[in-house]
Amino acid sequence: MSDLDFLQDPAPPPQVRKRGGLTLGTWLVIAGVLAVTIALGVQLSRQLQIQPQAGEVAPPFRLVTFDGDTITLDDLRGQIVLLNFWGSWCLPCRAEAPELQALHETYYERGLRVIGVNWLDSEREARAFIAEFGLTYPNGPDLREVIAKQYRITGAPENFIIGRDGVVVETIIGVASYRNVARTLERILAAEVAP
Amino acid sequence: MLAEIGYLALALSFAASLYAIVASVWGERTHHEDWVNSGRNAAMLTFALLTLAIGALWVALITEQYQLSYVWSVSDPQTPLFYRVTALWGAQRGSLLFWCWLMSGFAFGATLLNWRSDRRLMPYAVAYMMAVLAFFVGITLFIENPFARWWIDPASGQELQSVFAPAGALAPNPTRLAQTAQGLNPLLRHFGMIIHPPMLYLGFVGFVVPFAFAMSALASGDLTTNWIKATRRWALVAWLFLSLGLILGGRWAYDVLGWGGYWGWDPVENAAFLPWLVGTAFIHSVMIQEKRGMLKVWNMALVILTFSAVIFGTFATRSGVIQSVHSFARSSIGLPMLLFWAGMTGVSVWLLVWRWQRGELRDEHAFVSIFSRESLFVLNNVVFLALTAVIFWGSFGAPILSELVFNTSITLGVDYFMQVTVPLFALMYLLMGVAPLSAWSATSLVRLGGALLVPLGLTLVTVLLIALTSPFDAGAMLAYGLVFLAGYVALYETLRGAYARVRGRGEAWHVAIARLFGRNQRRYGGYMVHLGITVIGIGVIGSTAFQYETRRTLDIGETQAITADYSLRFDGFQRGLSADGRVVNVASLTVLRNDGQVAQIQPRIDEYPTMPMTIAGAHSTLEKDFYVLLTGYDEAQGYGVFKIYINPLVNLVWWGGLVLILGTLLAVYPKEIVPQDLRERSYRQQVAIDSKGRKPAGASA
Amino acid sequence: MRRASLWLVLGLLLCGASVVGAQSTAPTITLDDVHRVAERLYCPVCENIPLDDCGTATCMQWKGEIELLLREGKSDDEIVDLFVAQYGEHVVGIPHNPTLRALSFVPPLLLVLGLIGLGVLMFLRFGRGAPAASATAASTQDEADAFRARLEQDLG
Repeated sequence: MSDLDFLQDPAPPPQVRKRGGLTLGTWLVIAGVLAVTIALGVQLSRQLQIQPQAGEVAPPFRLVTFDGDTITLDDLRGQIVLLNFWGSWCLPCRAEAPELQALHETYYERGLRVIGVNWLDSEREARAFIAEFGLTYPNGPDLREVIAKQYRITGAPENFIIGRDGVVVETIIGVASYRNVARTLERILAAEVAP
Repeated sequence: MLAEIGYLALALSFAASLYAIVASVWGERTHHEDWVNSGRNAAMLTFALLTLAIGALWVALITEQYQLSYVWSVSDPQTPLFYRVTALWGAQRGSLLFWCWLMSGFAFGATLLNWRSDRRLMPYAVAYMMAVLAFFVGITLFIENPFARWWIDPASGQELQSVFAPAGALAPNPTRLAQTAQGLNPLLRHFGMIIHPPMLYLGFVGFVVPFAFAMSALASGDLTTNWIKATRRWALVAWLFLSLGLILGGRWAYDVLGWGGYWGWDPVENAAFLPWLVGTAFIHSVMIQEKRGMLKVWNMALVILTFSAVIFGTFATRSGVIQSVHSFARSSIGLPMLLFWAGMTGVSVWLLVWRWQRGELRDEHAFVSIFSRESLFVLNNVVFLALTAVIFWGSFGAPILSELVFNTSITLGVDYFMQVTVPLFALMYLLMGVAPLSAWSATSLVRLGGALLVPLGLTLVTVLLIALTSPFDAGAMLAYGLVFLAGYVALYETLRGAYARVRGRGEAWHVAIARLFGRNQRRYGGYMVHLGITVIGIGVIGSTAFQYETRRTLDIGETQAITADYSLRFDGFQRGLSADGRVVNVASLTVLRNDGQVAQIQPRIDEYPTMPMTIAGAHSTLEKDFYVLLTGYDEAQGYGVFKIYINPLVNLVWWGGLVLILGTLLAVYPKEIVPQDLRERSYRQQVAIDSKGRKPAGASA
Repeated sequence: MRRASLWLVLGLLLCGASVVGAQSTAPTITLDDVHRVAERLYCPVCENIPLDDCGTATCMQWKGEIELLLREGKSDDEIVDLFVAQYGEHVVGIPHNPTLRALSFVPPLLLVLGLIGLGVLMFLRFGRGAPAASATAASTQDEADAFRARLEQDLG
């Protein structure tokens, strides 16, 4: 073989084959490229989505608590919900737990429902955590991360304040302090008293 | 100043690449030589401009211009000079610019070296290369600009990122910038990681050259093997870099990621492996077209698929569509890249179908026998594509579909990939053993069997020896058999060729071997690559099937037996602060073999402000690695927790890589066969033919 | 992720302490036993990292949990099933759910079969109408000659 071989290459036969339409294989290739593009595009756009923000309708959820009760967001319509995602392995959650308990004790009468969603945890550790902080608001495990996926959780703690109409009022990425949540609650309650 | 220079050079290179596309295509279609030449000059100018841009960024990195937010995000005042230089590809923005620069370098080289010999293909090839370059320069310029600077808006006191100063904005205090600079990602402070990305990028951009020439062949109508001859070396060079990139990536994982292995079947690793698989199929199957004028459509399809895999690999790593330790942070370049990928693939497939339907890609020969080299090559192609398909499915297809259709994330891990790829790899090694012994067009089974006798005998003896000396494992023995067969065939074929010369021409053995290699570098370079793949295979089987892994807790001064002959003593523990601000925890251990001291090793945990890194301590021999990781330590009570791995033959993976590289270099090494004047004559002849619009018919090669 | 990883170093130390502490009371469960199960699981928070090789606080806690479950007498399979039930399909390397398992294995099988079909098709179809090749190597009789002929054919 030498580099001069190309001089001897035969010219392609100039016969033109006319065929109607494209072959099955070509269609398959085109369909494949399209399918891959669409699937990747949808996946990409899903990845860019973030947690539900203020003004968006809160995604519905169903939580079975450690005590065996079932809570759904629909049942809580008409109440203000503080949805808290936590894990016993998360250090900031330890700082947050007493504040949430205090919020629960102060505002329960006025319609606040604190719901703890225990994320990526073991039941043993979670129960120990609840006992340690004496939490009396309902807590339950997010089995198979169903709720965390709905709310696009990226870490713990993350908190969502959901209004009586089921619309997110505030999204708190990180620790929900008593002061901040109370301020939002007072604002909501004040708006209700004086419409 | 540097930011302005870099930005301007980048913007000009974008304009030049767009101009090159228009001028080349226009000149070629209207037969205006001036336009074609102007397009070429613009294409070559992009390399100069991008060199200027990258030079500006390099100078900024070295001279610590922290006002450039890229410099600020990948280095800090403690970063040593070496890592300042390599920080250029330490994060998305810089590495994109680096990618563009390498791409324009390849385009420059291909234009310079192939202009005369492949004059007819060049205009469209330049247009295609510039189209790819324009896209990447475009996203670097408009979306991920490495020359963006920090500014402070005096009214609000907010920091802004922009190349040019927004109205009224002030430059931030340099001291404050230097103090807050983030420094290079600790994972990247390793030799393997320094070299691995450039090698991978070189492999990726290198495959753009064969793709551009193939598409040019389709666009221009020069459907002979010219495009293959023009790009054979480019494809091999790209393949070499890609192989090197993968091997170095494995080495980096082995040394730095701290899990005792080198290949984790992570989606991003796989994304770099896919172009390698398709590219390997490609460099095999073009040989059939060169020799026999067959598989023209198939080769075009393969080169499109290779390029497609390259762009897909870049997309998968950089868009954040799949999360991994290897990927860059999430970025908005995902969607444009996806559209570019789909567009390029679509246009190329359309071109191919168009030519195919016009009947211009007919094969010159038919398959004669199943046991011919061409049909075994087709089988080889099927195996490589099957590997590509199953790995793609496991890494991207199934996880993404599960997410989209069932709203459930799944992980397909090592177990999955072992199940789906091992049978295919076994078939690949079997073909590596059989195909080189077959002849073009037809081989009789008896003859093939006869040629296999010696290598097969050697293989059986070897496997028997292994079976006697190591714990028995039927699967591993079968795998060893296939791998050794491939290696023995490569060796046997080389020696047989030399022997034919010794007997036929009376040459001495060493002369015969040297002349044999000289006469057909490609064939014997190829055998050497096969030998390298064999050595890697032996290493992979040894370190996968016979790996031993254990977790131990040792008190200071304690010795524990790890295996029948190895034991480990924990001598002490030190903690210190290094100059670059990390806390280094080092455990000192002594490895004992049959109670004799063989090595001192020091596994450590480096605590960077952002993350800890577990660096292994290893006693490495050709036979095995005694590899230890420190996973926990209690200073008060004086004990450490260790992960201990014994990885047999793992070093053969790196040594095999070296053989593979040497073999590829041998196959690529340019040998001047055609004198300059002859080449020019052929060029003139070709131009004359072109102008008449037809080519003389000649005998097939 | 960043918040979780902040506690990683602490988790490292905690894990070391808890597992080692536990080891002294129940000598039947070793670190290797935990590893044997952890090897089959994947980290829930960092994608595609086996639990065994993951150093985040969550992973450390999981490994502690595996150890406790082993001590309670659960088998490896039971523990893996428990983890899947609690955390979802993505904690195992091959999904347990039959549909997802089929999704993982059937399409690649079809793809491979399709490619084999394509190879056969090429073999049968691509040469049609083209001149048949002359079998050069097949005509020689002597084995060594045949080899040399083949070699010349390759080299030439």
